[in-house]
Amino acid sequence: MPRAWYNTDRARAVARRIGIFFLVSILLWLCSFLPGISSVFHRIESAAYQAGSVLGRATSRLFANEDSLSAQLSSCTNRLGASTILAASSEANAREVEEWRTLMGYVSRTNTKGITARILARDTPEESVVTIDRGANDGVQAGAAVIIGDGALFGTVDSVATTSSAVRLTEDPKSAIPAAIIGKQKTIGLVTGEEGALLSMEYIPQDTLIAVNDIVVTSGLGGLLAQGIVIGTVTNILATPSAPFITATITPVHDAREWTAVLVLSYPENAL
Amino acid sequence: MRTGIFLSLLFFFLLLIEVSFVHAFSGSIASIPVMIIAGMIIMQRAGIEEGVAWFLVLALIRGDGIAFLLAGIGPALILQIFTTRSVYALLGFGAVAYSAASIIFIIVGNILDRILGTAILLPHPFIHTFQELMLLIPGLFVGVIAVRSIERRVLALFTFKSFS
Repeated sequence: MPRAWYNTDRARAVARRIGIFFLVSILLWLCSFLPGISSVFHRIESAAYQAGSVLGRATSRLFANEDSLSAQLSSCTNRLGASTILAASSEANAREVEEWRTLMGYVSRTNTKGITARILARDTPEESVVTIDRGANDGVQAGAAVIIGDGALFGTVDSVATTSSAVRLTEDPKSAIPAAIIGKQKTIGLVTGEEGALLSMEYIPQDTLIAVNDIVVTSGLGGLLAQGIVIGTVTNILATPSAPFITATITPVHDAREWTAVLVLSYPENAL
Repeated sequence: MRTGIFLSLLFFFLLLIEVSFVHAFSGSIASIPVMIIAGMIIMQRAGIEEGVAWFLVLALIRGDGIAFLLAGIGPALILQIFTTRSVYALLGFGAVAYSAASIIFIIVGNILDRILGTAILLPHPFIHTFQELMLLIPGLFVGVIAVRSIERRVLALFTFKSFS
């Protein structure tokens, strides 16, 4: 009598194999829910997923059609534009913060009282006048000195409106700042604007001892301008023996065009 | 015993490959049904019982209705139609079995959904099924070539001789 199919050696071996397969698979599956083992599984899965992502990106680039590549290029160009704007904005902000920090350093170092202001607009190069966001309501006075950086003269307040003011820069040809060489507290000349960013110091008496690299400061004898505010350094001296005065070329300490934050010096009410 | 343990480890390894590695690809490559390909190759080349067990465990762990149907359709097709162990028979078996399982799954799913008013078996979208079918056939071809290259070692574990 032949044995039944389930009673053969092969059937028993197959049943044993499948039984073990079921048992081990279910056990492994259940073990994958245990905290310790699941973390191991997750690490392996994460590594496999990262490998798949890298390969997937590479293959999608390889098989991308022209339209897709064009779209990607367009997207990248847009992103680059946005990133450039963001980078420029961040750089401008960082620069402004640095400017404020420098101004605050000057204020705390010299105990100077002033009104911080931001430059709103600049006029044409022929007339170097800028508009700041502080006016009479904030206590700005016409003729007051305007400072940049760590105490360099930026210009003087030319006219004051309610909420804004016009500042005439030292480099403006119409500007005339009574100046002196540092350490010599007498007015020896008037600083006016020249071509470009250079300044000219005129009406210097022939007997004045002046040399290149001398530091030129305000003399304090003109209107609201306090003495000792740095204007620039002497870079050239034009002396003609027959002429009654010497003319010196002054280079400003800072390039006024690069600054966006300024300090308008305050004066007591009776200063005028 | 070794075969059962090996099969379990292979099952989880391929499950990991499919879920974490293949699914991380973009586009249609992510739809390669690695577990179904492996199950079909096992069913056709190693043994119908092992293949059925493979699909049943897959259906149990992943709740995959198509895998459950393949466990029933596969043996019938191999025993009645695709009786040889050639590559073409495997490709034909894969295409017919998967198509049949998908169609039954979609029909049954829809009927159950309509009768019960619940989404017990949500039918796969047709396009997804077609996409998987298109990937299944080359997958089977590549898979069987890979299996053939290591057949001696793997077959030694699957065949009855190794346990005698």
